[in-house]
Amino acid sequence: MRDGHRLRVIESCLNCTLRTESFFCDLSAATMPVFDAISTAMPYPTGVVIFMEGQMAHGIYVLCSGRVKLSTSSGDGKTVIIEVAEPGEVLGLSATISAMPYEVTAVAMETCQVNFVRKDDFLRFLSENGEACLRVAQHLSRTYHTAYEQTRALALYTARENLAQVLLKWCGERGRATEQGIRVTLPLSHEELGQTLGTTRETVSRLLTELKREQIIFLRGSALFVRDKGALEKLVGS
Amino acid sequence: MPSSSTEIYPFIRCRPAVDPSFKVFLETAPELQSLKHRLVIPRGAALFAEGDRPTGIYILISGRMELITCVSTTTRILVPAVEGGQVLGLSAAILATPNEYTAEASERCQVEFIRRDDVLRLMREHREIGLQFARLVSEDCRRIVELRRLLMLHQVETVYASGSRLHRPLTGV
Repeated sequence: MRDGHRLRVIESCLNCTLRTESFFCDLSAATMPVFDAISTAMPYPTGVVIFMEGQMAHGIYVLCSGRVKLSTSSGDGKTVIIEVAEPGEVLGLSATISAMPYEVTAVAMETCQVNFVRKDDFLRFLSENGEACLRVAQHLSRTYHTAYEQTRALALYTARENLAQVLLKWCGERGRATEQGIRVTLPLSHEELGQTLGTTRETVSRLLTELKREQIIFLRGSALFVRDKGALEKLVGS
Repeated sequence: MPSSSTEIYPFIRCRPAVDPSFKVFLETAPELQSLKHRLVIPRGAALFAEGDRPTGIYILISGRMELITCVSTTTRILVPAVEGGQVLGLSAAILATPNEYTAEASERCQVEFIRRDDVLRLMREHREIGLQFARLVSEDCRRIVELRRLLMLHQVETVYASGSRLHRPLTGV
């Protein structure tokens, strides 16, 4: 173990303390050493680009700790955030398997540890492990299913409803019950939230102000308190 | 009763053609032959419906299918047709989650059906099948990211601004 950018980098999957229930962390005892032998642990400081949209895929990145923003841009520089990846997620998997360019840009939102596996090593690993192939397909299917539902929500709901949906998701994932309501530290700026919802920073600010006025939420610094979770749920369900 | 509209997304890439060698493999591999059941789907009939529990996968042998997702009671998103050699319903079958879309025959089609249990067993036992099926799902992942990107970059702000739940049609009705 070594320190890098104030992150304690765990060099081997075999004695990792960060393990999640995701596919690569949950490989069988026989397969894990094989995967460990082809992966390289790397720290990424905040703001560093891990890979770029359009760049030919050169491998997969297993996110061990930290969060990574996955975004895509139009020719005129407009950016949309596709997802904020959490530990356990595998970045660049579909591009690597398809031998295509990465479809998104991945940027570390905080100091991250990532395990990198080169494309050739990864494809060889898959071709030698039937169980791993099935689990990669399951992982990709889950990604596909989630993305499909998110895309459908984007088409189906208004910006206000989608914002309510995001706030409810954050309540579930990172919320802490307090006397004033559910406290959530905002993981995204208003601009980034706009890029996630396909709208502008101004619209996000206006919608948050509306929710404050309706006493559904209130803001204190970077913390958001949800006072009336039922009202948010009603918004999404309406 | 509100009139229904269909959004057609001509700029979404069609599913890429299946690797020709994999297409031949699907058609001829001995381990698949006894597991496949051939079906004929008349024009306009649904092969499977959005929201149904998957029972297996379908290999399109001939004809054309359209993939349709309902985003409201009156609006449908139609993704370009898929043609012979494509595998449909794979990700839902792998995960046992409801089908994400309806596959409807836009002309008379012949398909081959493989039961879900057999698909999972084949993927475990035959690495090449596992890898090829994983590639097919990865292509679907790429297409959905592209669909989302295009929706967000080109349309959503318009939809939000109008306060409408429906998309402004790009082309077609």
